[in-house]
Amino acid sequence: MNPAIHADVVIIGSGAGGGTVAAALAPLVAQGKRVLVIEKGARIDPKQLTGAEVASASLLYGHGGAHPTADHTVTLAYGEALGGSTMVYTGTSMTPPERVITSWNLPGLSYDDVVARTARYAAQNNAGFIPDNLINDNNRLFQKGCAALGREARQFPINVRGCRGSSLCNLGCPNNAKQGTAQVQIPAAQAAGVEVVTRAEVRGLRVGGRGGILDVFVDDLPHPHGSQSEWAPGHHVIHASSVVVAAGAIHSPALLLRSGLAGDLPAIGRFWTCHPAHILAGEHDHVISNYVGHPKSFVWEERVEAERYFLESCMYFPFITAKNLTGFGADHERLMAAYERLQMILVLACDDALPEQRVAIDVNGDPVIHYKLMPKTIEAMVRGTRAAAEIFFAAGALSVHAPSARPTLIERSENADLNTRITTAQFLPGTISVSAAHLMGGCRMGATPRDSVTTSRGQVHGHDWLFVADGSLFPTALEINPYLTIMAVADHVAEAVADREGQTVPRGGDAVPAAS
Amino acid sequence: MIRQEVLAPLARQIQPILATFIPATAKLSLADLGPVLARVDERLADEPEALQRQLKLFIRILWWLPVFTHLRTLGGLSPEQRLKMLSWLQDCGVTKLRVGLWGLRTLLFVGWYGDPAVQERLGYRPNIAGWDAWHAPQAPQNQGE
Ligand SMILES: Cc1cc2nc3c(=O)[nH]c(=O)nc-3n(C[C@H](O)[C@H](O)[C@H](O)COP(=O)(O)OP(=O)(O)OC[C@H]3O[C@@H](n4cnc5c(N)ncnc54)[C@H](O)[C@@H]3O)c2cc1C
Ligand code: SF4
Repeated sequence: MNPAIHADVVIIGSGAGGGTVAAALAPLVAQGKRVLVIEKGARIDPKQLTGAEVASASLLYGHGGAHPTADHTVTLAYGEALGGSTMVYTGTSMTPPERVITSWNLPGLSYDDVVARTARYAAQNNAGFIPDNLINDNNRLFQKGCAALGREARQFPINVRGCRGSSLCNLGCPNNAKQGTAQVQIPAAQAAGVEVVTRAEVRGLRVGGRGGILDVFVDDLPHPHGSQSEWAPGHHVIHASSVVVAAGAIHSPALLLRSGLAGDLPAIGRFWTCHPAHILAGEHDHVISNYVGHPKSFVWEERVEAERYFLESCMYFPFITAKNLTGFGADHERLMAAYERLQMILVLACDDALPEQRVAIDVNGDPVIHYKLMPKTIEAMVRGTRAAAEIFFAAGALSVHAPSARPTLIERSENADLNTRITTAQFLPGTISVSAAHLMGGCRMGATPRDSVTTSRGQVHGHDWLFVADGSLFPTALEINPYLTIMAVADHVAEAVADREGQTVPRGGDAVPAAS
Repeated sequence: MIRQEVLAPLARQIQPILATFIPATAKLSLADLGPVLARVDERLADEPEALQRQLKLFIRILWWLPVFTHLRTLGGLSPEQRLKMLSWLQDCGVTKLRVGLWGLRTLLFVGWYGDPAVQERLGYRPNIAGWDAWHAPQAPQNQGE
């Protein structure tokens, strides 16, 4: 075994949450503290990213981008590389809805505070609107369809710098234009002296010394890009005064569970949500520029509160598209042959945070996600599918592929029958593809250890050395794309960690200057 | 790196299933299936062994299932009979069977639609240079793998 390592703060994970904490706590290094980031994934050189769909998915995602739930009816996407899911996100930069943050009712985390912090991180990540002349056909059709129906498609900011419009965001940006933690916060933290160790997985945590003891295993398997860990392969033990778990909404609860914390904290893993989503396709009679330009710029969210869904423009690669079209055989093949004429819309449902929706662990300590598509969620997805079909037709589509319709292809002449063509009865889990990339909950913040895992400052109840700082903290689904809110909440947790270390850090993300 | 073979040894059993899912593959020989299944195996390499075993068992079940109804293996059925049988499974009342079929379908789609040459034929031609390549005088090129 390698000699024991001593640190003041150890951050587990380098995604939206962990990367933010690393940058926010970087000033502690100048105050004499040792801060480490331990990341399971590899450091990826953007120059080696090719955009090849299957190879990139294996390289950048956990389970190749399709971690199945226990009953295999939903697949979950998350990044597993330095930068976490921010390596593969689209960069949609949204401010959270007031009703959601207010409903969390967390002392010290007001809506105004969250908004102020998201604004700072949006600036840090250079979030802004794509100029009109760089918006591609697929996005324009979404806007056009909404406008024809009197719906307001809202353009949202995306966080790019020097975007060339290669449309490969979800396969890792080969131009290093998308601003994730691997581009912004981690380099800033490293420049200030934070140490980053990649290809190192934390398998267990326990109380000891000044705070906690971590068991870390460094990988020595060959990597397709030759990426190596900064540390020697094998088992390392780290003693730390403060430990920040930011391994994402699947792996953070799994780590706490395999560390034996569930006895005092029955809510670990529970109240898990993910905005389950469908990709819908509408066939047009003309070629659409869908593989050039930034893929995503518009959201239609006017019904999110009443009907529990929102729609976004999107574009997916051929395999992902094939996977998302229900069925197989000649009909499926014909629609795939029309790939360059397909408009795409993402339907996302707002799922309820329920105790039975949970991350558990198997005998090896690996996560198992017990997640069911509840009737209310299915109803929301069906309503969203109808609304998307209306947008496709209003934008001029000839036919629409709706997973919860039989037959799945709806012709333009059937536009008036959407309520009878698209129904919950035809939403067959296991037959139709449902995926999710907004993973939230499992270590929710709250007042008591009975129904939450951490305080509103991310400190695990009853363990003052242990913090959580990622999407797993959300008490309920956010109802909008989550990364900026995760950064805001992680920034808030970083202040609590600094307080424990008896130090101060600049408030609200000032450790990294805003993009100029 | 040594590539682990998961589905490749079952090429003969997979051939009629693939041809039902993607009729264009019906003309592929067993040898042509090699690269398709290699892509699937690459995707499966990091999955737990238990899942790999279940998948192989499921393929064998699909192969033998028609013996009870048609006294023939899946390979002996006509394309219409195969489509009928697999479509029935896709919508049947047993979630485990549905998800098994969905999983197999999805993996075979990785093998076929994940092929850059197939992607280009579909008209998917992304380029790292994005808009610059799109506006360049020559047609944008697929950057390949
Ligand atoms: C394809 C895709 C597109 C998305 N697009 C958007 C978007 O446009 N806008 C938006 O707001 N959100 C988007 N999201 C969601 C957003 O990226 C995530 O919600 C966010 O990054 C989650 O942050 P996190 O810190 O909770 O986890 P992550 O960012 O996933 O980071 C967790 C990190 O922990 C590491 N880790 C896990 N276990 C261990 C361990 N045991 N030891 C050490 N390290 C470990 C992982 O490798 C990973 O790097 C997208 C997500 C995906 C997958
Ligand atoms: S569209 Fe822009 S941000 Fe996305 S991969 Fe291409 S260059 Fe990068």
